[in-house]
Parts: sequence; C-alpha cells; structure tokens
Amino acid sequence: MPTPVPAHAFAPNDPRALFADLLGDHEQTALLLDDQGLVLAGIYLGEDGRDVGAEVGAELSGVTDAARRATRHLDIGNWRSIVLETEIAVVTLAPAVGDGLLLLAASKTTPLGLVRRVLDRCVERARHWLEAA
Amino acid sequence: MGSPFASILESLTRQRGVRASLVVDQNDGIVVDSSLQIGQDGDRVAALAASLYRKARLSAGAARLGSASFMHLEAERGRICAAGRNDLVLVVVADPAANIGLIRVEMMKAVGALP
Repeated sequence: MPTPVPAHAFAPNDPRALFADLLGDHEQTALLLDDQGLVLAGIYLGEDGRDVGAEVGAELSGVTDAARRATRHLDIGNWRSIVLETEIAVVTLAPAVGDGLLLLAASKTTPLGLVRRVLDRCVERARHWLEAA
Repeated sequence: MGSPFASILESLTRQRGVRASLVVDQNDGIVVDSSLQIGQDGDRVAALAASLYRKARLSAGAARLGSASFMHLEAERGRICAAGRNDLVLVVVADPAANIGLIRVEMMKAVGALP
C-alpha cells in the first residue's frame, strides 16, 4: 500500500512533489514515467518508507505494450486508462504526453471514482509540467 | 449454451453495452466458453485479453502489489474488463458508454462462481 508524503516534506520545485497537493493526505501516490519506464516526477514510498518508484514504474510500464497490442488488434482506438485492482491497492495507468505514463496507486479502500478523478488531475498537472520543462 | 459457464456469461451479456463475454484459459488464451455479439472474433478477444490480464497480474506481483483481482482497460471505442480465478479469466468487451460499475459488480460476483 502506498505511503502518503506531505507536500511540505519537499523543497520547492522538487519533481518528487509534483502531485503532492493533488494527492493530499490520503493513502495514494503518483509517478510520471518516461517512455522507458524511468521516473520523471513523483514518489512512491513502500510500507518500509523506502522510495520504490523505480521498481514499481519499471514493472508496471510494461503493461502498456500489451494494452497497445490489444487495442490495436481489437480496433477499439487508443487506450486511455487501465485500472488494476490488487489485494492491497488500486493502480491506475494513463498515457502522458511524449509517450510517457502516469501511474497512480491508492489504497484498496479508496473509491474507484475518486481514484479516476485524481488520475485525471495528475495527468493534467503532468502535461503542464512537461510542456514547461 | 449448455456449459457450466452458460448462466455466468448470460448474466454478463445482458448488461447494456456488453459486446462479448468469455471464459478464457489464462495460460494459453484459448476460449473455454463465450457469448458473443455478431461480428466479435472470440478467439482474438480471448488471446489478447488473456495476454493483457496475465501481463498486468505478473507486473503487479513483481511490483509487490499483491495478486490482481480485476482489470479494466478503457479505450476510445471500447472497454476490456478481466477478472481471474485459478487458471480461468472472465473477459468482457463493452462499448465506451457501458455502465462499468455495474459490469464490475457482475463480474466480481461471477468470478466467484468459477471453478
């Protein structure tokens, strides 16, 4: 389950804090990944307090290749989001600009509709941030 | 349909916007049973959806997020939902306007009835 990180824990303009104000104090976290699955912004703290963003991002970014293949062969257009419910978390993936990927993980108790809304806000934040970078 | 999965698939196909519902072998992507609207290629849907679900499940496990229980992919012109139990995956393909909340509830109920 992702551990929340308060926004005031970061220095100004720290890319790890890009989504902190959108995530609030809930048990949720967000990562912006590049097209190689490398972390551009955000942070993912595991239960032991260690940043496991690189590992989580690398593992889950591979799902998008399977998603592209499925949508292409089924002729249902480009994929917009993937929601994956696991034993301990709800993980959502959405495409970001420049072939990037937005990953939002929330506790299993977070309502799915809320997860979706936060994901949309994070995607928008990432778009602005990448365009300004 | 006379298979043990007939009632499960019928209940899913009755949902508004559902184009296809299938029970698929997770390991090889082969159709065990299906309920398809005209024009749906069951073999193709089964292979691709099972592959996607398997990849998502393995990735979630590798990321130490625990085992996956439900997956939903939303695309411009359709949705793919999958839920697994043991070696079987229940797959639904639906229209973009389908009520995903209702489909999810039905799938979670149905997956519990899989052997």
